[in-house]
Amino acid sequence: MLIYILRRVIVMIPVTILISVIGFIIIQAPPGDFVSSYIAGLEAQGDIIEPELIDSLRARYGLGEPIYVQYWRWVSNFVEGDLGYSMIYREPVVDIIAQRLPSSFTISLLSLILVFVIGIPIGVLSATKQYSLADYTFTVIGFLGVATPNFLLALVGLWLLFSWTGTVSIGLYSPEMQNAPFGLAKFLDLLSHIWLPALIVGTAGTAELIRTMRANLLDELPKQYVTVARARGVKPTKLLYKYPLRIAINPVISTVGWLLPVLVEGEVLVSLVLGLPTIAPVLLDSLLQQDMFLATSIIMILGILTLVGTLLSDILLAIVDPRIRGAV
Amino acid sequence: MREAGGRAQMEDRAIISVRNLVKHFPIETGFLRRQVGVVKAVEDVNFDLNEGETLALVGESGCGKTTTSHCIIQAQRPTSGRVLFRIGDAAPMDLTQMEKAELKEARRNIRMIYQDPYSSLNPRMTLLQIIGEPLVIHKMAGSQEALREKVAELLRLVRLDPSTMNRYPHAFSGGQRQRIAIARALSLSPKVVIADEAVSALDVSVQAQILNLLKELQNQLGLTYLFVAHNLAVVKYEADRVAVMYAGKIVEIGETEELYTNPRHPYTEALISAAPNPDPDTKNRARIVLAGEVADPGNLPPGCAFHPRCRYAEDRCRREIPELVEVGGEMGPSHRAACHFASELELAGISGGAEEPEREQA
Amino acid sequence: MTAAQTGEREATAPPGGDAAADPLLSVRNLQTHFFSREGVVKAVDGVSFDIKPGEILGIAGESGCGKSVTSQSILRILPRNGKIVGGEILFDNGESSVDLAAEEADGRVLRDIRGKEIAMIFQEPMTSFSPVHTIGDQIIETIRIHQDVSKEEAHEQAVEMLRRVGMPNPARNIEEYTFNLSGGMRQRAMVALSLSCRPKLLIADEPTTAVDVTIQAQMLELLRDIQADLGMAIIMITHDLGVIAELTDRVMIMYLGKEVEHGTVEDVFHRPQHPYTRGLLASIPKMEPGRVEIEPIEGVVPSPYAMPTGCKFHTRCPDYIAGVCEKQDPPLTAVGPGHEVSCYLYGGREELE
Repeated sequence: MLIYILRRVIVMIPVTILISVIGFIIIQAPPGDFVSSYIAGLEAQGDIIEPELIDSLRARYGLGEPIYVQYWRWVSNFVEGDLGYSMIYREPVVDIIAQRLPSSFTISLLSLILVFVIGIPIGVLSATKQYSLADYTFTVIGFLGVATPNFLLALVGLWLLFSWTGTVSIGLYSPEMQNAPFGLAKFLDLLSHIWLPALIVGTAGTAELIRTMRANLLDELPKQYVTVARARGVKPTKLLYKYPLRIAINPVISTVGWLLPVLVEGEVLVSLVLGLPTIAPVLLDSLLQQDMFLATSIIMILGILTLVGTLLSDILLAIVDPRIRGAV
Repeated sequence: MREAGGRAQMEDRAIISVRNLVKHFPIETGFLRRQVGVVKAVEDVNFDLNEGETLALVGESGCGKTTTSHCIIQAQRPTSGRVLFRIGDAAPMDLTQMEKAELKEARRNIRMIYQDPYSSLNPRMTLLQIIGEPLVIHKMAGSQEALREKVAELLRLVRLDPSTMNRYPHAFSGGQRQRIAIARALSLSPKVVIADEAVSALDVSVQAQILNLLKELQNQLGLTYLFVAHNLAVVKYEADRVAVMYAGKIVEIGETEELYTNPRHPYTEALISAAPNPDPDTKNRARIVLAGEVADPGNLPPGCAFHPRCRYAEDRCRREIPELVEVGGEMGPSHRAACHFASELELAGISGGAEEPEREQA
Repeated sequence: MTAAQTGEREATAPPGGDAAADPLLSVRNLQTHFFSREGVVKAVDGVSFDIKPGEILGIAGESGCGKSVTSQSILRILPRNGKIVGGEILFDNGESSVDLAAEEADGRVLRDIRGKEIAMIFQEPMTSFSPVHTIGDQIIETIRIHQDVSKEEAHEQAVEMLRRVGMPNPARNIEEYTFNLSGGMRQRAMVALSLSCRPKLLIADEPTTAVDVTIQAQMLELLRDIQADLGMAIIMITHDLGVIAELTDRVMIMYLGKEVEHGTVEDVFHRPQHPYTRGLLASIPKMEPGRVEIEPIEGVVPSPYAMPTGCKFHTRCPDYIAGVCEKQDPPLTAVGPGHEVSCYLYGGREELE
């Protein structure tokens, strides 16, 4: 098992390097170097740039030196936590990410939990009561969930909330809590705001999970070991959760890893509509305005998170499934 | 077409001669696909398939009988060895040395029938398309009218109603589907048919129909069969000669009646003894129940691969690999066995043999 | 279950069955139908048989004859669209007789009987075990469902049962998963699983169909030995008449959901009366010296959605009597002691108007 994890970690190294190379290429893609475009941007707004600043920036990122030196500079800066400087926010990239990533993370995590808490029981219900009214209903809702764009759901959600409560829920905190120190009150305030975005972001995932669970379980239920267990006198409930559910859930575990970037992606429009301080709109902005350090840093971080997530779900899978454990 | 030497390499009556056939599969591991071993699926197999006869390859799963048949039609390329095929008086060709394009004629003459009539027929094709397809591929169909005529003839040949040719396979039972598969195999008027467990999935009453149909077709069309099967009773009924395989090798080969009544290899004896007989009078007969399981072709024991399960094994069997040697009399037809003690052991066949073997505990 | 009870049962139930004993299981006019969009399939349509303690009964027939559905009906483990629509399945649980057909499928009564009084083994040993649990986990689970014993005691019993079925290293094998075991070992593990609570009746549904002949021989030997050892009754369900002849005392032949003939194996194999039984026996290649011809039964098995009227076999029967056989189901007629046939050749015609 340890060897397996070690091997997986070793495999991650070249993949991470590959992601960084791609990230670097993105930075290099716009014509001219980024300092020139940075200066151009500042000058267009009437600011005057000190020549010393220009020189220090050029030296810091090794501009004018061979391309591999530039890459190396960038990578070492990245590892040291210097993610570069954002043109559009006029802030170090690391600060922007530090502000935004936690809320993104919170929403994604909550979505994930909602996806599982809602998706798995409904999937199981659909499979055990196949072709029942409930099954058909959830199947239809599931298709709607997959087919409806998130921003539309966000708009509908906002409208519903407004027509019921008379307030418009924008952001993650009530205005009076915005600058309060983090404590129980703020946390409760966060909870009262976060469920809507989390639910909306998770809708597609939930619908997908319902369908996956239903299909997996329908594959497992007619298998002989279930019949054998039934013929041994195992109770119907145990017959469901001890054997087939456990096997049916394995593929779900393996998807946890790459769900994260999918959720962040899903956040973009929802965050725009609901005015959430997540990282997704920043990514969109940075890509649109060619704020390359910002864009690349976000992509890098998401990429690494995906790798770590995949590793975690593979380890989890090996723990629950002896067949995989035996093969590693 | 490449020639494979003179006629001397093939027996006069042989239509296919398999010489030193070897098929190894590498065992690979890790993400670097490092080869850590080799599965010796077929190991130095030799036999002749004579024109007009039925030769059966019998053995348990993993003995290499199906791989051997696949190596003959070059569905799998052998690791080494030769497969000589001769049509009429033409010079024999070595199929193992031929490119795909060159194999066309050989493949037209050697057809296969598989076990599962449910999966071997495309459910979206009509009988006309299924049976006519080989004719179209080999451009032997001519007009659509000629094709229909030919397919109707083939359906009559396998005792199916020609008026069903526009129907789909799902409308037919298992036995009927196997008839369709046979009609398809015969559409190119082949010389040799390889039947790979062709009746194993069928119910006994239908199995009997197909066994008899295959025999009738052989008499009618002068076909040669290579009959790959695991059921000894079926083989006894269908085959003229039998080759028993174990762990990639032929351990015994001879005429059916002779091999069943006078087996010369302990594995053949055990197989015959283990086959259930539908006669309650033999209920209490002494059976040889082999302990353990078939040797793993990826990890063969040294010496004779059968020795760990053999009740007659001695030291020599653990060291030396026995050759397949002639054990029949000088006068009679060939009977060969690969056992060091083939000429000394008194083995029991279906007649009861020399003495009742003691019941062996697993 | 205590050792004393087990010992008593072994003493009263010698192999071969006790002719005078009351039946352990009595199936009366069982009808199990399957309902689907295409229509109703009468998979089992009026089957009756008894099995006595310690007896080995064979149920034989070709695919679609209803032999497996019969066994699934007994344990009430039918697929969702299958229903028992008539008949009784009377099981003697030692104190009284329970009608399994009238009980709730997954209710308390059935769950207490399953695995404890009546156990079942299936065709594929590999898929009989959950792939993500050890074989010991499942054997111990069965023991603890039915017996009030500690984990350690159950573990001990499981190891003992694995030893009895000939596992080479029971203490280690109990921790293994099926994918680690060889084919023959899986067979043995499957038998151990089903016998873990020493049932009075073992139903074996095609247990040797998917295995090689030498493994099949091991399996049959194991069943014979363990039956002599534990004394349970066995219902052997198979299409292989060779297996029936080698193992069973009595046999019932089925065709399209109906019982066509039953009797001792000697009677049915040596003096087959029903044209279907005769046809079946004639179509099997024999392991005998010399040339023995085989004669297939003509025609094909009718579609389950378009069953023939009257005797189900009349469409393929060489002895078909026009104006009789297609009218009504022939009744069971005795042709010898304990030997019954459902065919108009042997009687029942007078009752037709």
